[in-house]
Amino acid sequence: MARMKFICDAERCIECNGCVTACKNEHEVPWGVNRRRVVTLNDGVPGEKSISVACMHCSDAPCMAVCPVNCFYKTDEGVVLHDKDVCIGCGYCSYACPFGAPQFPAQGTFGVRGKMDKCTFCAGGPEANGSQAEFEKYGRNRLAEGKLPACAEMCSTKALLAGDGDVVADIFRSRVMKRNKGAEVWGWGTAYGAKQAGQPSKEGAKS
Amino acid sequence: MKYMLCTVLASTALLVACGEKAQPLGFRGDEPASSGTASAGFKASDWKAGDKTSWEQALRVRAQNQNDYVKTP
Repeated sequence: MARMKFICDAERCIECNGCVTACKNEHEVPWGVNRRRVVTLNDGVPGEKSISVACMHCSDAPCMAVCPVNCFYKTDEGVVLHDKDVCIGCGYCSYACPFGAPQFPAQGTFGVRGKMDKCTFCAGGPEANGSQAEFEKYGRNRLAEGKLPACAEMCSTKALLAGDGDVVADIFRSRVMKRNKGAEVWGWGTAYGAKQAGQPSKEGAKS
Repeated sequence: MKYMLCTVLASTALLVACGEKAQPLGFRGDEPASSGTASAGFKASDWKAGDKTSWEQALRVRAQNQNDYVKTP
């Protein structure tokens, strides 16, 4: 299987925040922590664009590189996950991440920063799949149920695509061919290398 | 002698209580998603737990639900 990837189609996103709500509901994410959020560029100006942003599960994840306690790991499907039992809440990952994905609950004594929380691509964590311990720390493990992330499956305009990188790139490519515009995918190059979704690969480019 | 033995045992017990469990750093392993889930009631029905090929195929088919061009002509 290819790697699991997200694509947000800025031509389709209507800033409804359905993805944000689906994520919070599915994983019972605490108040103040947003694993996913919608960002609008040129808000209020004709031609404004919205994009849904979360952890992109980068090919060469900078959070993994900077973590001093090595709490991150990558699954066979390319999903970047972390172990909350190892995380010390130092926040280095939040400085390294180009997407602002790592979140820190501030409900401890004196508002102390807690363990990092981020999008898991609905793949849980190192605890047993579907266990109560996994749910409490990381939320639902939908991948182990044979489902795709809730944010993408709930997206009303199908702006947010999630799944096997080849499959979602094919879906996006067919859209671009039909509408003849909007081939740029925000964040794709940063997360997965220079190759754009739906574009022919260049010699030697990272996929 | 008996008093000394009791003192040694008590000291050992106290010192053990002050000890710390080993805290190994780094990744401690994870089950693959294709091995299935304990919450069986939520599992999608079109694949078999433990069969990676059927899991991959089920996800590929499910991903096509995001392609509205296959739903409309």
